[in-house]
Parts: sequence; structure tokens; C-alpha cells
Amino acid sequence: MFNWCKKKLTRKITALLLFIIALLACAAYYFWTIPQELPAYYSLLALAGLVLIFLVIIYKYISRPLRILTKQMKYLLTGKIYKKIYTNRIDEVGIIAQFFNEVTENLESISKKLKDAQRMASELEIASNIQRMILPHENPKIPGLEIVAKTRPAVEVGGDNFDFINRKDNTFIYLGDVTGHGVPSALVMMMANTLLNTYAENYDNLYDIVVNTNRQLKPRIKSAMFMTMVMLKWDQTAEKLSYLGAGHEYILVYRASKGVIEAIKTGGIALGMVPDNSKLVKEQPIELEKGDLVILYTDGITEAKNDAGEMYGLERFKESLIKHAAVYGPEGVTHHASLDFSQFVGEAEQLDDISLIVIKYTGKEKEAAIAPAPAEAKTTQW
Amino acid sequence: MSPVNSPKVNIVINQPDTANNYQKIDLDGEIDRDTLPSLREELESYLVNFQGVNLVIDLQNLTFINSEGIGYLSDIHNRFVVQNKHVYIINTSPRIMDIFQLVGLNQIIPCAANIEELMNLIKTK
Repeated sequence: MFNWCKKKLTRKITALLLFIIALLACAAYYFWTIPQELPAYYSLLALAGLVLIFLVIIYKYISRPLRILTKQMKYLLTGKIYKKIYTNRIDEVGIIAQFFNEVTENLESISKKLKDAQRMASELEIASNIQRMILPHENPKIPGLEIVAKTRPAVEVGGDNFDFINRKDNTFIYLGDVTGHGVPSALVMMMANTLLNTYAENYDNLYDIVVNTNRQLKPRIKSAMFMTMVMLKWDQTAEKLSYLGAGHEYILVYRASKGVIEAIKTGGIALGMVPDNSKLVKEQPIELEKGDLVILYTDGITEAKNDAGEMYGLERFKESLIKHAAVYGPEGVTHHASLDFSQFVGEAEQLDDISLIVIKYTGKEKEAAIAPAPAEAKTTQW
Repeated sequence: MSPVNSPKVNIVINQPDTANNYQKIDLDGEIDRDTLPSLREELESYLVNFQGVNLVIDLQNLTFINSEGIGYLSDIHNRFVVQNKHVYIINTSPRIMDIFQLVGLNQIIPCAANIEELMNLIKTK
């Protein structure tokens, strides 16, 4: 079918040429074989007339349509306003016109998609900035504790979140991880952060904060989503630490005197899993000695895989922490544990958000004796 | 996404046990971000048409599950509860059970070591 189309214009020209040759032959026959009264130059006039007709036809059917086509193509290529070409011809000229129309239509659709993608990218950047504003910008200075926190979302926005909330003599520290990552997780994370901050303003115990947050969060998120969380409460006066788990990873406690890490199961149930978690969560104390470290993390660290598909795992993470905790403070432990992690993962794609908070119990006396090192590192950098 | 090991998840749907009124499905392999969409796609039509009352999920050959996978199991549970149906989990490896305990999934979906233990659990309920 296409061959037929291809040949059509050639056929037209050939037919036209044959027709003119036939006319010329008739004219020649008429002028040269039959005795004429007319002068001989009439034959030349007839010939010129036929050539003119031929040229007019060529111009009307080929040159002019092609000129229109090339003009519109030039407009397209130079970025000027071009028009669609309407024709019902089905020969080469028609095919080119059709092709031109299709290409421009596709271009328009691509350009629209591109604009949409640019808009979404810029909105995502705004969302990412909002999220960064929500997360603490600097490591907090809390009497009796030295804290370093780092987080890195897998994409522009993420579901990992943490905060340090000061209320009178108490400091609440939480680290949460919403299922998945990206925009859906980020939206849940924003809700959870607002709820936890609001309830921390009104309650001075972890239990009420978490139970109320869960009650509000559950009806607002879809069934397959939840947020695992661990929340700590630091009583600055009594220098006592307690925790409440909501289905999060272990709390790791580095015992400085023994050089070991104790993994405490956080217990409880993830926020958003059941409408009422009041029977399932419990605030419990963590006994600390000066120099001990409390390490909170999200599963983005332990479940990260390297190029060979091997998982980083809790054991490797613990070994790295023990090695560095013996030498460094929270800043150094965070830095070197991050390096160990990055070395293991290598070039493998980061699939989940990763967060790490290292807290050292320094005690107030030590703090008074030695001025705390300024926490220069921004918490959101990994 | 992993270039070397591309984990897979397989679903085996067993014949219903009419005497004990349950149907067992086996989930084998790994449930993570890569495999969850296909698992969901395959399992959804089965779950929508599930006529029984007790669904037993056997995780004997499941080697990994991430939080999204746990979210999906919890979602199945939530949907079954409103229809007065039940979901149970059996044969979890210690590693998977550890993850369930961390998140608290075992507190909403009853977990048992094997089918006999599960039957006793249901009877004593």
C-alpha cells in the first residue's frame, strides 16, 4: 500500500508528461503533414502554451505545497509559531503533511509532559525544603547529654524523621520511620511530627504523647502504612532517661565501662497499625552511666545492600559502633560509622531513608568543666 | 534493582482444609520493595475472592520482609477483620519473627510455630 502511495506522484508526472508528448505529437502531425494556411510559428506558440500548462500544473500540485511545507518546517525548527497543514492528498505531499502534523502533535505532548515534570520537580524541591525546615537544623545542646544526628532521604523527601523537643526540665527525643519512602511517607511523617510536637507540649510523659498521637494518626493514613518510632525522655534534673517503643528497631546502648553494646528491644506496636495502642506500649527506664552512648537508627542502615546484594545487618553495624565508640565521642562515632556504612554499600543505589542519632550521657558536671564542643555539623547531612 | 541477586517471591495456594476450616498459602522468597508489587498483584484477586473464614499464611521459606511487606500483611489483616475473617501466620523463621516482634505485627496477627500449634491456639480462643 505504501509503495503505491510512493509511486503516485511519479505516476502523475509521468502521465502528465505522456499527455503533453501525445498533444505535441498531434500538433506536429497537424502542422507538418496537413497543408496549413496558418504560419509555421503557430506551432511554436502551441508548444509554448503546452509547456506553460505543464509548468502551471507542476507549480500548483508540487512546488507550492512543498513550499508551504518547508515554510512551516522552518518555523518549527526556528521556534516560530507554526500551523498544522490540512490536506486530503494521499500522495507523497500528503504523507509529508501528515507526518509533519503528527511530529508537531507529539512535540506538543512531549513539551506539555516536560513542563509538568518541571513543575513537579520544583514542587518536590519546595516539599524537600519544607521537610528540611521541620527536621532540626543543628545538634541540640541539652544539659547532661551530647547529641549528634544525621539523616539522608533516599529521594528528595523521605519518611525518616526525628526531633528534639524541650519542655521545662524534660527533653523528648524521637526517631521515626514511615513505611516506604518518598512523597507518601513524607506526608505521614509531617503529620506525625506535628502530632508528637503538639502532644509533647501538653503531656510530660511518653505514654500519653504516643497513645494520643497514634489515635489521631491511625484514621488519617491508609491501612498498609505505619510509622515505627522510638521516643526518649530525658529528665534533666534527675538525669534519668526513659524510652517508649512503637515497633522500632533496637535501641543500642554502648556501655563505656565494658566496651559492649546492649540491644534493647523497643517493643510496642508501630503507630498507625491499630486504632488504640494504649495496652501495647509502655514507658520504661534505661539505666545509664556517664560515658555511655545511646544509639538510635532506622532500618535504612541495617537493611542496606551492597552491589553483591549482601545486607549490612545489625551485627556489622554494632561492630562498627563498638570500634569507634571506644575512641571517639558522638560526633566521631557518627562520622566513622557513616564512613564504614558508605564503604560497605559502595556504589549501590540508596533504596531507603537512613538516619542515625548518637547520644552520649556526659553528665552536667563534665559539661560545666569542659565547654561542649560546638556542633558544627548540620544534622541533615549524612 | 539489585544487579546480581534479583530476589523473587513465590505464592503457593494450597487446597483448603475443610475439616479444620482453613486455607493455607505459602509465601516464599523475599518481600521487599522490588517484589511487593508483583506479590500484591498476584495475591489481590485471590484475597478478594477468598470464601473461607481462616487464612493461614505459611512463611517457612520466606527469608526477608521489609516494612512495606509488613504493612501489606497488616493491611490484609485489617481488611479481613471487617469481614469477620481471620489471618494467621505460621512457620516464621527466627529472623522474620524478630522483625515481626520489633514492629509489633505479632500483636495483631496471631503467629504460631506450625499448623498444629495454630489449631490449638484457635481452639483455646
